[in-house]
Amino acid sequence: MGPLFRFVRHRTYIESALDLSSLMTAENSLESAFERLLARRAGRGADAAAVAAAARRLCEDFAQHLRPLIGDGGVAAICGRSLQLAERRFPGLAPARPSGQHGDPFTHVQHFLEHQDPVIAISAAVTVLVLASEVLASFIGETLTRLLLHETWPDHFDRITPEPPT
Amino acid sequence: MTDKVPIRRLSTGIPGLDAVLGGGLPEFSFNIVAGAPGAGKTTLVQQIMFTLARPDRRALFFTVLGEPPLKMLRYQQQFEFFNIAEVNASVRFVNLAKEALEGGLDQVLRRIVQEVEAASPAIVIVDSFRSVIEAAKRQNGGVHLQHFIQDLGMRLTEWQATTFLVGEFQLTETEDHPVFTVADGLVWLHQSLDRNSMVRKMQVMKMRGQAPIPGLHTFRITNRGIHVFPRLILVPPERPPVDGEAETKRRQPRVSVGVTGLDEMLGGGIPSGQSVLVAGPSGSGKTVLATQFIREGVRRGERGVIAIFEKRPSEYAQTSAIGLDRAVRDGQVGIIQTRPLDLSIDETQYELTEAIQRLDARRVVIDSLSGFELALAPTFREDFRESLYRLVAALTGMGVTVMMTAELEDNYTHLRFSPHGTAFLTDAIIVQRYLELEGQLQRVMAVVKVRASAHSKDLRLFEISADGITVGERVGDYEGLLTGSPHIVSSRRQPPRLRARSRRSRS
Repeated sequence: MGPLFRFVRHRTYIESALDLSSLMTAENSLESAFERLLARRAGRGADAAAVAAAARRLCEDFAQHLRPLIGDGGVAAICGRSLQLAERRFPGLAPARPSGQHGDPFTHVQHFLEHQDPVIAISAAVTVLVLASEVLASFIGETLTRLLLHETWPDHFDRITPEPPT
Repeated sequence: MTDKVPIRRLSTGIPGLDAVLGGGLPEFSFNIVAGAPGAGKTTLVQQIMFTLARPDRRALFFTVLGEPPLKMLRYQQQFEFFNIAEVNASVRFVNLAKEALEGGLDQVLRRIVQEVEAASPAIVIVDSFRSVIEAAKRQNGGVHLQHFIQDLGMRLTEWQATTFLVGEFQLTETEDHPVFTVADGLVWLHQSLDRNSMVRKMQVMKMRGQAPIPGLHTFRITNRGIHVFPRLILVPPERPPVDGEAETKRRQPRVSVGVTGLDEMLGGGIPSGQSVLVAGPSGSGKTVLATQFIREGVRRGERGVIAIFEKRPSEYAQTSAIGLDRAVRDGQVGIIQTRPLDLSIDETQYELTEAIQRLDARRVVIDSLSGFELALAPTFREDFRESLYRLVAALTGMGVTVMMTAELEDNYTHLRFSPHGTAFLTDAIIVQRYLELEGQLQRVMAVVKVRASAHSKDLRLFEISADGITVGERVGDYEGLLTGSPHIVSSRRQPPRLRARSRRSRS
C-alpha cells in the first residue's frame, strides 16, 4: 500500500481552526476528493518530490480557474489565509513573509513538501487544498465554490444545482 | 416612408425602471451608471445582467479595481436576482485588475476585446470604469483616455452589445470626461441624507432614442434588489367644458359614503372619481367615517384600498368601529401599511396603484394625512403639498373615489379645514368638530364644499355607535357655534336631538 492510502485523518484539528465543515460529506468529502486527485497526479508510491510537484500543479489549476473571477488579489488572499491556517498543523508551510499580491506562494509550498516524509507531504498538501476551498466558500458560498471545483476537476467534484431565484 | 430603424427595448427586470428609462433599455446602447460609493451602481447593473442573461444572450462582467471581486460576489449573491447557476454559464466574471495596474489602458482594452470576441456577449459591464480612468490619468493623461473611450465605444458598437460602464463619478465631472459625451445613456444614482433619514434617488440624465421620465425618482434596495418608484407626473389640465358638458358633470354618478344623512348633505354622495377630505379633531370619527365609506363600497360590490399610517393593518381592521376584517380576509379590501419614517410619496403611490389595479378597487382611503406626512422622509415633507396634489390627481385620474382624513386641532378663533393647506386639493370637504351644548360634549359635522355641486350648509349633530355614524338634526337654534361661544337665537327650546333617519345607508 502506497503512502497515499495511509493518509492520516486530520479533520478534527482543521475544523477547530476553521469551522467550515459544510463542504464535507461522509461519502464525498473534499479530503477524499483531493486525496484521489493527488494520487492520480503523483502516482502510486510517489516520493515527497512527486507529491510536492503534483500538489503545486493542483494549486495552480485551481488558481487558474479562480483568477478570472476573483483576480490575482483574490487568489493571493485565499492562498495566504489557507496557508496561515495550515501552518498551525504544519509549521513552516506558510512563507515566512507574505508573498504579496502577485507573488507565488506555491513555490514555497512545493519546497516545504519536498522536504517532508511522503505521508506528511500528502497530509499537508490535502490540508492546504481543503482549506483553500473552505476559505473560498466562506467568502463566496458553498454553491459557487463547488461550481468552481467542478469546473477545475469535473471528474472529482459534483456540481451543486442551485435553487433558481424566485 | 416607414423604414426608420426600430430600436428594440430590453426589459431590465427592475420594477419601475423601464418606465423611468422611457420604455426599457435600448438594445446595443452604451450606458454609464454613475454615483457615489454605496449608491447601488453594482446592484443595478447586476440585477439587469441576471435578468437579461441567458444562453443565447450571454453577459460579461469585467471587474477592474475598487471593490474586491471576492467581496462583490459575497455580497451580491445575497440578492435574490443573483442566480449562481448562471455564473460561468450565461454570466461570466472577468477580473482586469492586473491589466489595469500593470499594462494600462492598452492592455485593458486588449483583454476586453479578447474576452468579448471569445464570448460574443450581448451584455458587457465594466465595473468600475472610474478606476480605468484613474489608471489612464497616471499614464498618458486625457488624450490617451479620449482615444481609449472612442476606441471602446466603436468596438462595443461593432460587437452589438448593450454596455454599461459603472463609475464613481461626481456630477461636476460630466463636463470633463469624454465618456459622458460618447455614452447613449447616463443614469445617475444619488444618496441624500437629511437629518437621520437616507433616501436613494435616481436620475436618467439622457437616454438616446427615447424619452425618459425627467427628474429624480426614489428607489429602494431590499434583498430582492432595486425597486424604482417613478416620480409622479402631473395629469394634463382639464380642458374647458364644451356645451352641456358642465351639466353632465354635475349629474355624474354619486358614491354613497354609507351614512344616509351625510349623503344628503353632500347632495347625493361624493361625485364618483373625486376626492374628499374629512377633517376633524382627534376622536371625532374620521376613521369611522372612512371605514364606513369602504364598507359601503363592499356592500355594493366595489372593492376598496386603505392606506394607513398610524396603526397595524390587523389592528385597523379589528378595532375600527365597524370591523373590516372579514372584507380584508375575503380580498374585498386591501390594507396598505408602508414602511414608516423614510417613505416617499412616489412609493406610496406605487403601492396604492398596485393595490387598486390588483383588486380593481373603486374606493381609496388615506388615513391620515398627518400620519402620512410623519411617515415620509424629512426631505419629502418639504414638498408634501405639491406631492399630495400629484398623488390625488393620479388616483382620481384612475377613476377611483378618494377619501382622506386630516387631524385638525379644534380652534375657535379661525376656521381651518386642513393642517397642511391641502384643502384646496380636494373636490369635497367634510369637517367634524366638537361643541359644548347644554353641558354636554357633542359632535357636529358640516359639508364645506363639493366641487361643481350644490350641498347642504347645515351643521348637523352626529353620534358614533357600534354600527357607525348616525347623523342627526341641524343645530338650528344657536349662533356662533364655530366660535366656541354659541348663543341661542330664538326662544329657548329643548336642545336638538339626534333623530337618525336611518342607521345605515340603504340607497
